[in-house]
Amino acid sequence: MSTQVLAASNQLLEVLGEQLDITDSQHEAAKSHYKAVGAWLNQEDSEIAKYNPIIFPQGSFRLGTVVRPIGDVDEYDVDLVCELQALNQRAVTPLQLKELVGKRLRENKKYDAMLEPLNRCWRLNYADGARFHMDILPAVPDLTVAPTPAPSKSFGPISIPDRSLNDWYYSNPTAFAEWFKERMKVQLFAAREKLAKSLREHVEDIPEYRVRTPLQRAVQLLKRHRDVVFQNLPDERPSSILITTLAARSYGNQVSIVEALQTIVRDMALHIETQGGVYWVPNPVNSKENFVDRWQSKPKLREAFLSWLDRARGEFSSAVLQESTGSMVKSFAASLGEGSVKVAAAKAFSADELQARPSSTPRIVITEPSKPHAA
Amino acid sequence: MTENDVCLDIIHAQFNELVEHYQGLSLHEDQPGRWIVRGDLTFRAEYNGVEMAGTFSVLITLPDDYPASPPKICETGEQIPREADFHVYPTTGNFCLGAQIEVRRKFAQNPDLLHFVKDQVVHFLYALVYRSWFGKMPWGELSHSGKGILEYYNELFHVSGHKPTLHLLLALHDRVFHRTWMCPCGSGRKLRKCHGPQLKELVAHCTPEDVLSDMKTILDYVSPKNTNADARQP
Repeated sequence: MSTQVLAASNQLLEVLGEQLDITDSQHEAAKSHYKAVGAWLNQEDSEIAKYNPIIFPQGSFRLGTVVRPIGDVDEYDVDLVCELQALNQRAVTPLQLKELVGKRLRENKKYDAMLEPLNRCWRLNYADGARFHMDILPAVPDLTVAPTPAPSKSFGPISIPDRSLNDWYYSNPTAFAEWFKERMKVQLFAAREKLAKSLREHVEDIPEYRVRTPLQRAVQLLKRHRDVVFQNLPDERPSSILITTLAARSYGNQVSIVEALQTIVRDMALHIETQGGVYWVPNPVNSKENFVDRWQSKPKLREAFLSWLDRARGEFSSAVLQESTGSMVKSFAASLGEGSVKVAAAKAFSADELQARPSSTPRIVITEPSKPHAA
Repeated sequence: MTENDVCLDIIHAQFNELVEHYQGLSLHEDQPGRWIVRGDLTFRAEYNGVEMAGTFSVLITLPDDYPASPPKICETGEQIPREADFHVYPTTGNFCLGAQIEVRRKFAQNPDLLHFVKDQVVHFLYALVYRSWFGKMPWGELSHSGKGILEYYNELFHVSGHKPTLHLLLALHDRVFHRTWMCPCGSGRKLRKCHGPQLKELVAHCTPEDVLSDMKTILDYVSPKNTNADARQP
């Protein structure tokens, strides 16, 4: 890959990443919205205030790997946990827990108007042009795990209602986020330092969400590619947590997005283990949890994942390696959605640069290749 | 016109044809009588529906007896590590495009620079770029040293184990194949109905010394003293 091509693809992918990302102001808005929800749950007249509720972000919003949905009307998904810290799974059923939180939300006229019940959580549909909705997942501390001496009072392992509200499901979004951050800490610090310099501020004053590492960008691009590929096959769609975990495991502190992406798609599949004949991608903070447990009963999901990965390798490699900026943009638009890529391209390049020059390089179709040998 | 002039004309004509397709390259007389082609080689190629492209700074050296022997090529931009794992000879930096006899055989089909680049070099670079994205070679690779040579001949002759290959190579070295002899591969068929035609074709692409050297390498690999001969077969 020549250095110019590498630089141009990096430039495009960086702007495209910003394009997929939630903006700083959306981030701030989401934060103040969920803090307000937290205050409402904790207010004196609140029935559940005695359970000491707290609200904190989880998932892509927390990890900095949010991806704007395909299409302009769709909204960002902000995932929150509402943990009733002074309650536990012996004192409440999953169904009761969900109702406790739902009841308090309904008591607020504003929230009642935008509340939508989902399988195991509550969705708040903000209509103030914020372009996002918040999914609030009720939780209680997980008592089956010995409490860790966490610096903050909670943010440890939690129990959440499973899909059917029949049982508990165990999770630890905080520990996962810490693990993810650890995987990219070198570049995270570098990115904050760079921004601090340009703003003449102290590194410590740059919040982590204001910067994105090559790992975060690569995860966003892979998730967007997945969204495009599985647009009409939602049942076979690889999960975000699976992509995020395998990507973070493969990331080797590469400085450029292209190199991060290249390494990640090359190595992702190497981190799929087998345990006693069962495919296994352990949750890095809970080795008992298998992110691909459904592959056992539905082998089609594994095939779908592997063929998606192969397609991602092929499409990213060929897009990045296009000779002219114009053809590179075209190639990315086909794999990542025309809308966002065109907007990103217009921001990243001048009209002149976008002219797709006819390539002079002959394109060869390889037949009968020889196997290279090493002496 | 001397023989040298004829050769020079061929080189110029071949280079002009090459540079029409690969514009980043230029021809130089490095030392009196030694011709090289160097510059940026940009390629685009597709194999099994997957397209790869790339630009590498390369140096192609034409041997004294060119075009009787194929050129050698190495990379000058330090994009490819000088390691046997990357199919580059660590000492010279030259690409190991394939088994030596295979490189000569392919080159002999179209002994010119354009075909050398298109049919061998681009394939090689494609495979390396592919590997950087997919983590594996697109069409496989030969093992290192003797094991790889044996794998190559076994595939070429469609035989398994080292004995049939060594017998066939011995015949190739001696260069006498009587049509009615039994084939040295041990198939029990007459040479003309078995490996005869293939051996006759190969004679043009290797000297008895080349064959002897490959036989020695294979023998070293399969010898009981070589504890690395993990794939040794009876």
